[in-house]
Amino acid sequence: MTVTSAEGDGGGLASAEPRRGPVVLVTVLVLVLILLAVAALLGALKLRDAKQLSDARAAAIGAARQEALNLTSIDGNDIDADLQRVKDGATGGFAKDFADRAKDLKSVLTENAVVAEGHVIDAGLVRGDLDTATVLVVVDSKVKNKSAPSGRANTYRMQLDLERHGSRWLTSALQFVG
Amino acid sequence: MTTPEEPRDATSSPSDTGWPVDAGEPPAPLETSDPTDAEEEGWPAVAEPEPESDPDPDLQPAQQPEIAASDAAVAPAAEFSDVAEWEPEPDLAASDAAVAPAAEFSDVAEWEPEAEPEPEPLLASDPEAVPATEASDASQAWEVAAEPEPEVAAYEPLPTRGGVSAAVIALALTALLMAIANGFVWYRVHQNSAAETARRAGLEASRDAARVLFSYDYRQLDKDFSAGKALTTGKFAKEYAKTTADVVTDIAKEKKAVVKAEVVTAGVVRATPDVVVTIVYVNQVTTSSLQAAPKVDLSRVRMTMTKVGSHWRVSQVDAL
Repeated sequence: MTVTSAEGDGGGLASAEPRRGPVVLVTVLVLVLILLAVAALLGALKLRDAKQLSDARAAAIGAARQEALNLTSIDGNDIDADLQRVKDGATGGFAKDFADRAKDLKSVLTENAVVAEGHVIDAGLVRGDLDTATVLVVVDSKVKNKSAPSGRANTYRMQLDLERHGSRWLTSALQFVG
Repeated sequence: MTTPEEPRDATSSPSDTGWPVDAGEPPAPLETSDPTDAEEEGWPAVAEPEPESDPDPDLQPAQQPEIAASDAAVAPAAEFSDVAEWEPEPDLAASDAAVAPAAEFSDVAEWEPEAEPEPEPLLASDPEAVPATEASDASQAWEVAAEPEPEVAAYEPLPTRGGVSAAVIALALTALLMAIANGFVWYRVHQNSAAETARRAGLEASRDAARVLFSYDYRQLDKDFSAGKALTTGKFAKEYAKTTADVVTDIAKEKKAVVKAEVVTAGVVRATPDVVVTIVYVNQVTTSSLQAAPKVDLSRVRMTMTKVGSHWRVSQVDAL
């Protein structure tokens, strides 16, 4: 009997060992899966952050181009509407400065029968994060007025500072770079 | 004789050996109401019968019915009832019976049935192994049990491994898919990171290059233009060399021109890990025999920077 029992024990152990291999393997695989899932999550979060930044920069550049275009485009038929488009894209210091000058600007533009057609040549990002950006906008414009009825070409080097307000990017500062 | 011996080794399968053992010992079933217990005891017991089984090949047929009865006793557990059926026909019945419980895994049905019984023996086998040995008294019963085992045993090892391997394969495939997904995700993360690094490096390189390319002194044109050419690459390198040699050199010497370029500011139009396009606002201050006072030109330049090795080189310049 003792012999048999000994054999029985041995058999039990022997049988258990080969089966623990798979258990260990499964455990390892599960751990690997968990690690992979965590890694994928981290990567996805990084991608999301990168996309948010990329989208923010693109939106800022787009808004800067539009504001630069608005500033250099004067229809002549409806100056109030021309000026209002610029105001709509402005905020902070730039909005205040432009509002202060709007009245004088309107009279000058009207008296000289100014008609301007702006073209954005290109734009580049000096710096930009999720909420603020500085953008260069290269603009050409053809300006017609009483003294130059056939038009005169102007070239501009603009630099705009922008802020994000909700989903919109507004220009808080604009300068013609000398 | 050979056949019985082989099965003994193979008796590793819990289900086969376990039941007969319980049957041999009437008290055992009572004590172990749980099916798992019965099986557990069966494991160790199986090994024991081997020596005895060899001498009694004849016993097998007669004892088989007994085994069935023992199984029935243990049967309360649903799992056992299935097993009981197969005993009369160890080979075929075992495989079929195993499949039946596996109902959960319709696809893997063949594999799974085996997998289910396995876990039980694994867990319980160690602690209960001892009781099984005690039960060894029912030597005859054991012998009987051993006989059927051989046939089933040959099948079981494969199926049990198959059940586990099915899970392993599923996990491994999932891990593989996750690894591939990670590859895509982290490749893009790397690309984004590389583009961001390129954005800064390319922008800075374009500012530095603009100062060199758009400056020259008629007293050291060779030095200035060779310095400039070192910052260029590709087709633009040839254009730069040709323009400076054929046009600028003569005019510069004639006018005694000294041009100093200052970069006012610069921005990135677009950036990839290997190519960055920038806009640079350059002020060129020119002194020459033509003017008494320095002349300032405000220019707008678009520069395409290309990474060559570890350096950023100018591959295109557009005056805007």
